[in-house]
Amino acid sequence: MHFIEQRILNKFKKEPLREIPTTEIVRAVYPEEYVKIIRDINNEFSDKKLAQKAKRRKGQFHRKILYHLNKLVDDEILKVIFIKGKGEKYFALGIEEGEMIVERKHKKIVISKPSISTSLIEEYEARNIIHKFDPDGWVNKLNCILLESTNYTGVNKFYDLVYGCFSEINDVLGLNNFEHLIQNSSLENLEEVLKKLDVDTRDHERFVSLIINVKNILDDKKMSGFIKSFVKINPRNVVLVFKTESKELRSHKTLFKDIVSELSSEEIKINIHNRKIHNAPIIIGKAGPYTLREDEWQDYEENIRGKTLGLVIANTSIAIDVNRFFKENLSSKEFRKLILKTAKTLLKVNTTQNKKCNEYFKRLNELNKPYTKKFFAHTRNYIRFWNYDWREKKQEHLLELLESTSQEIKKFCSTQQTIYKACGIPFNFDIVFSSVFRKYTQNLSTRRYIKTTVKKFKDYHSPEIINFIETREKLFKIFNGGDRIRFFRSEEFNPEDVIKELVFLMNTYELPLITYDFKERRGEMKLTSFME
Amino acid sequence: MEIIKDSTLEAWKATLKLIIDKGAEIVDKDNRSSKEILNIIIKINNPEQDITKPIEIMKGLKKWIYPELDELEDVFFKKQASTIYYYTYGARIFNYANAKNQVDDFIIPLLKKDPNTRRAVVVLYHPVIDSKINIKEIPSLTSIFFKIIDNKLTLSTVIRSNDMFIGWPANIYQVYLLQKYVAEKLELETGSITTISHSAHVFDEYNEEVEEVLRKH
Repeated sequence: MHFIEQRILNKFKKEPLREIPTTEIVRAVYPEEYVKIIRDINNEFSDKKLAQKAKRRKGQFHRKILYHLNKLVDDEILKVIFIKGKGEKYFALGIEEGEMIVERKHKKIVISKPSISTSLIEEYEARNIIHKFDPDGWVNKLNCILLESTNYTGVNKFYDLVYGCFSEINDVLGLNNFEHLIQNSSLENLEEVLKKLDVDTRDHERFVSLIINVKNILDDKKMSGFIKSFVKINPRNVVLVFKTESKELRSHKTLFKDIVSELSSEEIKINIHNRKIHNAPIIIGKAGPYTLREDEWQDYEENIRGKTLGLVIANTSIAIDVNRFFKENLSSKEFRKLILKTAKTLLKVNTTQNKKCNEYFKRLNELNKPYTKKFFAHTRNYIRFWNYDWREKKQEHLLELLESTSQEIKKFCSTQQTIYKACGIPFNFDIVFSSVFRKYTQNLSTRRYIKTTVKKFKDYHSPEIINFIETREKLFKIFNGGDRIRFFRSEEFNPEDVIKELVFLMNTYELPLITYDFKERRGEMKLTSFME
Repeated sequence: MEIIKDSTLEAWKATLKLIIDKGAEIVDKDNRSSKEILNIIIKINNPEQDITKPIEIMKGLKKWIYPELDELEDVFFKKQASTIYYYTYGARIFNYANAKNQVDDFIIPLLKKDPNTRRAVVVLYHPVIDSKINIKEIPSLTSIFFKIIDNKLTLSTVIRSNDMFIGWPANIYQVYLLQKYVAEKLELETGSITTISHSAHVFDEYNEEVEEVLRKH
């Protein structure tokens, strides 16, 4: 068997359910060469000749791979599913389900394509009420992994690990304690890595959260320099999360003034994670926020940290479009049924995933040996909600409904865990609730913005705003998978105002994650849509 | 306490009734209430006739998802340890301590050589791994004993902690598959199965479903 065919088939062995575009197959066959090509093409500093050479090389690789792909199609091992955009072919395995054995010249590859019954939720999917996150990588990819920066002394080595993990996930990597690497690397090196991160996250359509633990910052100047580099590069799929508490905002006041001033100048969001309210890291992905329970995080801190690369945070997500559900005049009873059906589907996906884990997560298993079980010990599934405005007439009971449903799901998970354990299949099964971000999928209903006017600090004391934030506090407790409150800041301000507002919010409310968005709100510009 | 029945379903129901009627009230560290009887011995003379019946009943209750038969078989026969499951019976039986296939390399040749042997025992509990105070997940099945009686292969298993309602139907099916596997290799028929459950319990939260099973089946 030709090595190219072998690598192509290994890609499908790893992702048997996916329809894979040619570009991705080229990348899987020539991982290192392809990264270099993309960087040369995208590098603003490389000369034209180098970029042209890289483009030519890219074309050569594509032609070569297409030759082998077409051969596999002729042999009915693969099939062309569709052609998209400028003629890019998408390929899938030739079998519907079951096992396929490809044997050529003493080399044998066995590919199994599992069938997962999602019949419980199909009718809701057809009505666009339910949306799986990344349906193609549903079973064989993880949503979110936390990687521990403190395991590394150099940012380059750590970046190799980060890059390697892009193929294991379908949403986001959280890089915990990233301040450790900022402090131990030169600004030039950090800038270089940020550039790579920008190109590679866009190329793979993956997201990265850089979690900066403010209490560990020893050198404010260095941090300020890093923020300047970050703003200069402005990586589209990378976010900064500052894990802190209000007194640290004051003790690092000059640094935070710089941070606010720099980030706001380029309309980059600032995410403040209030450690006092929730100590486990919060990671911001394409699907929404991710986090762990406090007891799980404590277990990580006490028993796991340093033994593994980090921790798997989430494996599968399903989103529910609440507004669309209630628009169809469906009842609360129906809503409970829908959530239970979703939970049962998630369990089926998990058991399939577990059965095949040695195959799907082979690389992660190897990297975490002998502590692989610990690496997967606290992984959870997400049910995310979209358009859940409780001020809509049809949804005014929503908070109570979500709260009681959350209890039912907790019981369901615990029962299933007991059943599987009693049957000799002991594993952790957990489902948590959270919110969905707009970019989760195209097919979500139009967002119904909450109209709350805040023009200045004094407005935080208006009954309307207080009521709004207090309701969000309640939601934070129900959304045990993480949530965020976003404030739009389009008026004139100085950085000190923002710091003052943040300190006030952190001291007054139980909000684990506060995001200040400096982008002007599209559409409604009356500042009547200040928060969401 | 010994229960002897011809079929799997009869044995299961008799045990559930006994625990519900005579079990001692226990509250565990997770604050879950149950009824418990120590050292129940259940002997099923002809388990093959309805070995999957209790599983079918559990599936029929529809309150939960009960593992599929192939899932139960998979964890019992897979030699490779899972990276996600805390332990698997398959790895303990067929690749104990990454060193010993207890069935193919010991039980089968031993019984072939000496059909009257009393040494045909498979151990699943591993003190070096499991005897740690803070470990929560350890195997419930601790050993399996094979004995040829009247040209039939019988099996006895010791289960340290046995949820008789949700766990036992799967346990009995899994050990039956192992009995069948060994019997085929020895060209013997399968005989009785005996389970010895040190802590045989039923959690109160399943009382309604237990009553339904006892009433309807």
